[in-house]
Amino acid sequence: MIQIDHVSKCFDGITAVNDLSLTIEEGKVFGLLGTNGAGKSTLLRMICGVFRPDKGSILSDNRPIYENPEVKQEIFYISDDAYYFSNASAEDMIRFYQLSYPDFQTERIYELLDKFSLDKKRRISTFSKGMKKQLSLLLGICSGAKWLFCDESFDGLDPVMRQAIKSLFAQEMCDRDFTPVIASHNLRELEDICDHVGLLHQGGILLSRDLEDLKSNLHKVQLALEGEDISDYLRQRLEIMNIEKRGSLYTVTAKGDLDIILTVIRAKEPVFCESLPLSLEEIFISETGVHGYDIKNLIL
Amino acid sequence: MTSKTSFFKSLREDVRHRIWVPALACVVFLLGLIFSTLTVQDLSFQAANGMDSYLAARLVNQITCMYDHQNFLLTIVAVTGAIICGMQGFSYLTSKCQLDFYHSLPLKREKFFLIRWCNGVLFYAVPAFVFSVLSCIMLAAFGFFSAPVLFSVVTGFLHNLLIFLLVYHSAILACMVTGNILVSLGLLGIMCIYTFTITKLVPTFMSVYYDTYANFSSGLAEYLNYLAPGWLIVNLFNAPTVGLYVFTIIFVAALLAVSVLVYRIRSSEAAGKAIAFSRLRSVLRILIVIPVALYIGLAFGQLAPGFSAFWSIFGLLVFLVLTHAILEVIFDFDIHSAFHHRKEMLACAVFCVAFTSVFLTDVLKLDEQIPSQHSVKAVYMDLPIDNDMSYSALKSANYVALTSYREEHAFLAGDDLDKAYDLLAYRSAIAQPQAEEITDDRGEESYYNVVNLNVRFVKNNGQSEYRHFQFVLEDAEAALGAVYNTATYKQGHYQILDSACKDAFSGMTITDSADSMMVRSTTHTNLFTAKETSEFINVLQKDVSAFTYEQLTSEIPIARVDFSNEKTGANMQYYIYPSYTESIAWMKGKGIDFDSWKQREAISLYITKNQYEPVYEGDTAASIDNESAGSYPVVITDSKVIASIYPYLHNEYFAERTQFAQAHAAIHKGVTATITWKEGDDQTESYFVIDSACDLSTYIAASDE
Repeated sequence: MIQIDHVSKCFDGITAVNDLSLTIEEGKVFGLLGTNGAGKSTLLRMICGVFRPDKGSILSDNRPIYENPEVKQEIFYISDDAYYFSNASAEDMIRFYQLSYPDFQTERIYELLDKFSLDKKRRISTFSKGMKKQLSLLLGICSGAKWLFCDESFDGLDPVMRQAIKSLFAQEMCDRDFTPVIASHNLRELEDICDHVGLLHQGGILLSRDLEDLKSNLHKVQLALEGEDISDYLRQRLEIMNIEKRGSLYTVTAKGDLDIILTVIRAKEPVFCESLPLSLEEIFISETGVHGYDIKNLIL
Repeated sequence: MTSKTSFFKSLREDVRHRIWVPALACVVFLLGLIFSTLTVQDLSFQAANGMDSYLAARLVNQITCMYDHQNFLLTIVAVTGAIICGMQGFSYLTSKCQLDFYHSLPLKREKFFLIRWCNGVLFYAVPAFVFSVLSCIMLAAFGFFSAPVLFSVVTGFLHNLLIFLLVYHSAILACMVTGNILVSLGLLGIMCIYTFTITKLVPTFMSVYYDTYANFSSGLAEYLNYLAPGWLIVNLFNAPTVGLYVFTIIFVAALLAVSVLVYRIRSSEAAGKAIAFSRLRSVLRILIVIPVALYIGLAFGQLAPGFSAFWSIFGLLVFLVLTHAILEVIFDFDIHSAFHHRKEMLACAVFCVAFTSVFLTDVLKLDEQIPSQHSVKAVYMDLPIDNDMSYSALKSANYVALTSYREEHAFLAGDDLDKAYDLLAYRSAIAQPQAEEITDDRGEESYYNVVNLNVRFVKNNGQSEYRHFQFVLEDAEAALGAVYNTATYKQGHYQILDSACKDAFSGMTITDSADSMMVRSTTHTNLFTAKETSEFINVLQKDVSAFTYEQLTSEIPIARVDFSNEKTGANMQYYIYPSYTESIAWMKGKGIDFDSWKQREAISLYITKNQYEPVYEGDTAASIDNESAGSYPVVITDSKVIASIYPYLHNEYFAERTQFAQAHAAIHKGVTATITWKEGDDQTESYFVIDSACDLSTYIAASDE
């Protein structure tokens, strides 16, 4: 488990992370979501020991991570702009990582390079952006590290590759103690992989919950009702996240038990009333909308 | 895998990723080996063509110079290599993606620093060592290998390695403090010379603004020079001492320790920024802006005719604003930040103007004051007497500057300090109004009644203070003479009085008043043996020691002796005055009569006169009034009449030997006598000035024209 406790980080007077506390449990794919400038990359860098927090602590199984090689051997970090040695090939990078990660799976990486059609002798500088990302992910998976931190690593991957990587993650999680932490603002691609999500906004954590819990606690109900406007009625009785009214058609997003929500709505005898599935995107928008974030700027 | 094994593997892996650096080093040293082989091969050809012990010694000297601390190219390679290794090895600190990569690895940062540092040293040291070994083998193959040569190769390698480490650690420190390669290079350059420029600031201001200050020593501040790697390198190259080596080793270690310390506190987010520590920006700006503005202000002032205080302040302020703004832009990488710290800029400007004003107005009256007598243990003086005599290094052909020699040797101390301070009481900081510019008959300008004096005060604490004064001759002459007549002073003023001179020369030549080189006989053309020269110097020393100021200013030399040494190239010249009775007698004993020119067959005497005005108030030298100007030129061919003028003739160059002695010289100003001599079938001419005791009207009357 990685315990992040009241961590803050400022850069030249700008607060990137503000008194953030978070727990990342093992064995679940953790999705670190956030608005632009929320502090995702900064948080990841602090967790991986690149930045030192100005305040607070970050521990892995009660051991500090910063400048602790023993703990950092359990962590592999893939930054949004991955670095490779100039004129290095995949083979060169493998040789380098073998020195740093004693559990590096050499045979497996060569197998995967073959499967993903990445030439181990070709210079990485001649790879496309997607190929470089693939290589980073494969190196991370085969490093043998317990934690794999990916900062927007799925961007640039084609859908087929994305699925392949996801299945690799699943396989690794089954075979050994492996926990990927994926930071992204691309909710669609995270929706079918993440088990747990942490939502960052303006340097703080808005929520950190299992995805299913998140979905189970937030519901969208569509109903049609003529006559009076029942928006106030609903706001008084339910924890409303959002109400849209178009003529007599209401779309209500509310937190709480679904049965209770339906009971309250049906009390007004709508023409029809049905529950609709919520996407992660809608959950994200609802949660951040509460905190005043302008959703028009969020392009998914 | 053990920690040690993994460390060496990491070293090897690091080399793989930086292979171009050691490859470049190998190429450079290979080229060096090729060039040195060619040079040694050439030397071996010279040796094969016959060699005496002198040539052998010169060849060994040439070879040792190729490898020891004085090989400029090897020093350049060490310095350049250090900059490349330092900048390239730690350039990852300037790149965010590289920092993300390296600092996320399970590796302690200090270990990574060590890997980079080790490899940087090895990239230079290994090729340099191999070069040294191969050079020794090559020299042995050519037959030049010997203990001195081996010593020079070993010491040269260690010397250049030390210089490499000095610059290497400085480059690393520059990388730690900054987050951009170009800024690192700039900071490295500044670090190398900064403290040196600071120590020179006050002396430079004093020498520009104060009339009496020259070569001011900053005292304890001079020790700051040792913190300038550039200064250390130059001194290690020119004049290495054991003490300097020891200090440099300590300094190199200290630089490394500071670099490691800064590395540990340096945050990763500093990558890409100009300065890694935000609080350091103001400090660096102030430290750079102030000296730059002050020096440029000084330069601006000197660009104007004379020295302009207005232009100095103007240049100072303009370049202060400019430098401050440029640094702001560089530190923020944003042109809009040029004037963000206006208060800081204003504070710097106020300081600089105040600093300059202190010197401009001499508010501390430093230009007028001199060290008090009780605070001084000796005063060295460069009296402007016999300024056309030369000073020699004695063991080589190198000249020693006149002022430098006198400021090192000619002193008064103890009870004689009173004489020094009596003379200094007449000092003036600026040229006196009485100093009139005149043009003599050769069209040259001179000031005759104002003399310059360079002084070095040696204080009780050992520090030296160099000053420069002017005196009105008439007022100070008695005091000046008292100084000149002091034995310790004269001992230092005349190098010929140095006992080392007796064995420094192998021969001498004599020039008489007729400006002819004197010969001892028809068979001996001028030569004296080394033994005779030594004997003569012994005699001359007695005459010089006994010579007084009064004689100096009233007599005109009758001959000049040029001492020389064929082997070393050393040479020196001295005048023979009529009072040098022992020297004259010694020469006569060797068949040299300084008056022998008077026995030559004279064909004609030609006297001319140029326009002449009294050079200063009180100039009492006899001169021909303008009314008789029409009487010239005077031409006389009667040999008896010509011979009658001989006692009054002086060599015109001998008479001008000293600035104010010329003013004293009792000669007819503006009058020149030319005698044409018969030399076999040819004729020659000699030029003279005429003693004022000579009644020229006699010759005007006897003129053929």
